[in-house]
Order: sequence, then structure tokens, then C-alpha cells
Amino acid sequence: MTSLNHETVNGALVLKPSRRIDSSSAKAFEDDAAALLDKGPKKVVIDATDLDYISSAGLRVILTTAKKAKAAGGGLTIACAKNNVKEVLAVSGFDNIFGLHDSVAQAISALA
Amino acid sequence: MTGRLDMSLANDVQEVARVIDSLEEFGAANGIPAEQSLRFGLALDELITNIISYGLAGRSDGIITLAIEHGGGVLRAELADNGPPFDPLAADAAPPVGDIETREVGGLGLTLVKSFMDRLDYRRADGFNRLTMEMKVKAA
Repeated sequence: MTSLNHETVNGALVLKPSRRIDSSSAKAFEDDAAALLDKGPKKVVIDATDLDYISSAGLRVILTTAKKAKAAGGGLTIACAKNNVKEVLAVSGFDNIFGLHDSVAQAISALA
Repeated sequence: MTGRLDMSLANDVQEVARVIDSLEEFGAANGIPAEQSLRFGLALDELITNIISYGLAGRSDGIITLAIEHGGGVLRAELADNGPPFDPLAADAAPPVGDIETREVGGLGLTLVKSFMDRLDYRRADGFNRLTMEMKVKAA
């Protein structure tokens, strides 16, 4: 059982973390995401609508999740990031690696 | 408005959540916009995580203290630990390069700290690493 909010939309796994992915919560996100990916989806969208904060530990687990999706023949991208989260993604260069989208629908299309 | 928050932290990464929660409360009480409190919290998260994961890893006698002050439009913190001498400001920051296959995240935390803080200062005194950090804040 996972506490990470998620749904499947057009075959893509949409993960919706809430509040923060910090050093204390990153491991739980990584484990939950891995368990959900093991069920078969190859495309992952991080819906950051409810995410106020991400640290480098959070970036690390998103990268791990993305590598897992890519190894399965899919990919990962990010939608609806707030300013604080966008800033961290920009400073780290993760915005260019994963792409940022204004909606989950756009993000899913980008992975198609 | 001037306020001060003192915390003593256990040598456990779960403490990071308590620090950010406390900082959010402190920020709200001091009229600091939540976004700015969280940005400051991010820098603390990265530095505290480094101390716990490396400097004090496996130590049962680890001491970490945190003092946060707000005044004159500045959030200021002093983070102290009794780990081996380590100046995080002298460590290499990770360049934001590489694609999904090759990208590593080591050093990225310090890149974020340096990017978001307006002033950082390290000194070693009395067996403690003491890192002082400042960030300008705008009142809500």
C-alpha cells in the first residue's frame, strides 16, 4: 500500500506528491514510485500541483524514478510546478532534462 | 519584527522535517512569506542532511544545534555540529550538466544552498563546525 497519491491516465502513471519531498520523505517517495512502476507503466508524470518544496534528495529520487522508467522503454516529465519547485529544478538543470509542462495532459502528450 | 528560534537536533535525517515545520511556523509568526521560509528551509535541509549523512554518520555523540533569527529584513541562521572539520563552502558544487543517463546528484545540494543564500560563512571553533547563513526576506 502506498501513501503517494497517484492515478493512471491514458496509460501514464501520474504521481502527485504533496507538500514536500525533503531528506526525510524522499526515501518513501522513491519506494512508492518504484512499487507503482513495477506494476507495468512506462510513462511517468510528476504532477507537482500540491508540491511546495523539493530538496536535492527529492531530485535524486526523481532521477532514480526516471532512470527506471527509461530502462523500461518509457520516460518521465514534470507538470504544474510552483515557483519554489521551478527554481530548484532550474538551478539544478533538471528543467531541461525532464521538461516542465503547464498541465498533466500536456505532459502526457510530451511522453507519447 | 525580531524573533529567534533555537533548536537542538538529533543525529537523524527525520529531524529535517521538524526543522522545516518549525521554520514555517517561525516564518508565519514573523510575517515572512511561506515561499521564502521554504527557500531558507531548503538550504538548512541540505546542510543538515550533509552533516548527518557524512560528518556525524555512525556517531552516537553527535551534537547539532541550530539558531535562527529574523530582523532587519534578513533571515539568519547559525548551524553548528561537532563532526570533523569540514567547510562545505570549499567543497565542489555540481555543475548542472549531463542527461538522464549520466546525471548524478552529488554536490547538487550545495549548489542550491549557494544559489539561494545571500551570505554564507564558515568557521571552525571549539571543536565545532559553525556555518552562518543569511537570506534577505521581503515582508508579506
